[in-house]
Amino acid sequence: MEPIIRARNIAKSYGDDIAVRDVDFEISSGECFGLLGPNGAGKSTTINLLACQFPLTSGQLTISGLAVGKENRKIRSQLGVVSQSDNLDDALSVLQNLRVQGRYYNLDKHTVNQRSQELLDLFDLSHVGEKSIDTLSGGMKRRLVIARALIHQPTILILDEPTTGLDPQVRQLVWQRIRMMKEKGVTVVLSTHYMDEAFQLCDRVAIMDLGSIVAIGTPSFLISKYAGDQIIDINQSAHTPSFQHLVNRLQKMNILFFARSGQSISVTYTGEEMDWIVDLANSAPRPATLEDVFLRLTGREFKN
Amino acid sequence: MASTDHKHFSKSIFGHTLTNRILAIMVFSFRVWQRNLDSFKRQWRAEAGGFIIEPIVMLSAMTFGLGGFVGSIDGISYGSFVTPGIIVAYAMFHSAFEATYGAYMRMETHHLYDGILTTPVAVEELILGEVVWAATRSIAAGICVLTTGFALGLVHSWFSLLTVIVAFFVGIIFASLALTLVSKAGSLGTLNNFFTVFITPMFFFSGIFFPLTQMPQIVQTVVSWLPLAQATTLTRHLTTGQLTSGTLIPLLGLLLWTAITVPIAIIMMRRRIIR
Repeated sequence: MEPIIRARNIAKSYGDDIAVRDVDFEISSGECFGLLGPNGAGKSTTINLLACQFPLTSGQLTISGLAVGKENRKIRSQLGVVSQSDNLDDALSVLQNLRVQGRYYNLDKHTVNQRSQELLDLFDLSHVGEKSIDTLSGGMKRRLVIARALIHQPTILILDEPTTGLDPQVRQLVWQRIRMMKEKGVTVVLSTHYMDEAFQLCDRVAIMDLGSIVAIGTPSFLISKYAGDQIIDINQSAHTPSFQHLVNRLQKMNILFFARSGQSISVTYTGEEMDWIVDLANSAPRPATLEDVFLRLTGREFKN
Repeated sequence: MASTDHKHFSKSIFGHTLTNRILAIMVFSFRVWQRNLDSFKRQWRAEAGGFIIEPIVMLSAMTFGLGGFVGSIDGISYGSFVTPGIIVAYAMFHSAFEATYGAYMRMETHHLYDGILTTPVAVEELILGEVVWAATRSIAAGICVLTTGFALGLVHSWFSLLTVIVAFFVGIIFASLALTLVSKAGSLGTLNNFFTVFITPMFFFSGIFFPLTQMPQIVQTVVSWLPLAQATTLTRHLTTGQLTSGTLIPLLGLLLWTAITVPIAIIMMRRRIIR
């Protein structure tokens, strides 16, 4: 299947600061694609490049076969963009926020009114339609920002950290709606700091660090490739030997490990020959997660 | 597959011919203008005083207060002398405030530009929409002063109705100058300089309150190039009905200012927003 988004060696720099360097990826139509990475890894810049917010420094980016930079208006008319900050229009009511957005896409009044109502229902906001923005809770604002991005029924939905700062209930609602869009065939690109979010929603994820993609694939593929099946966590305490000693020993034995923090190491458990580590850690191996992959690939300490 | 609304767009808006582009610029600038109108409609009560009460107070003070001492200038009553300048000065103030503090807040405080620029609206259309909106407020301000002038018997010609058009061009010019400053502004406070250094001095030295013939020749020459002075001269010809071939000079001046300031504002703002 022809990918709906195709990035070839895309790069973005501001003067000497390189935000994104030679990034390559393809996203299929109907896929949910996640961007993970520490702060400053280039996730938001990548998202903004997809949203045609500024010119590429180099490389080619095509969306629905249209070149970013040449056909921005056509591309933008197919994109729904949810930015990191709640950039709602405080001077307007909830309903007006949706209507004004619909007009930017040149939708006729009837369509806009009908869809606004549907979206308010879908995002549990119908009771606040006439309220002004400053009376809304943080969760309501976030829901409205997402609803607003759907007014023109985009074929691609781009979300920059959609659930940061939300309570668990709102988070679940947002996840459900994203899944619903995916079921309708909408391609979803999202950036997130939450590994469970990426694991729950994304068909594939790319892990970014220092402006590059360091790993890309399905969550389960990345877990088995970079973290293995099971993990043992060793926390430094009075009972453990010095970390430097332990690190040296693990390196000598070619055992995969990574730092969780300065006081904690995680080791990939491969079988009974490693039971000495289980004894050392004084805890049973646990299943590996996407977070282990993330910490291993983007960790700064004990990097191996 | 999600239904694709971009099909509903008339194809021409996406085209690359000159006609297509002009159509798109008009449509999408209008969308930005409409957003500002919606916002204004929600809070016009708070602004009504600035539009209605201020002109009444200003023209009454000039006519019945100062006018009593001054008598007449160039053969017309002081109130009639001052009114045309006040029309364009109010047009200037409303547009300048809107395109400085208003635009800066929309851009930096509320991040509205970021949101709008993820839609099919292009940055040039966004800025043009802002300029035309500010000028629309100038028209409203001009109409309020003109109506007050009519009520107080200070305007003497039906040509006065054309001052609304002058107010519009004044609005365009000062909104463009204001946005050019906004494109370089690091904080809201920077914008104060626009008023203290530029707008307020211009208000007092554009021949609104006294004829420029009082001033040294060099000052007269410099001032005659200022847009507010040109607008004042043009408007005074209209409200007094004394149209001459000399009326064309300030008219051309304003058109020149428009042709220069609008593209500069668009280019400078684009440079600020898209990096």
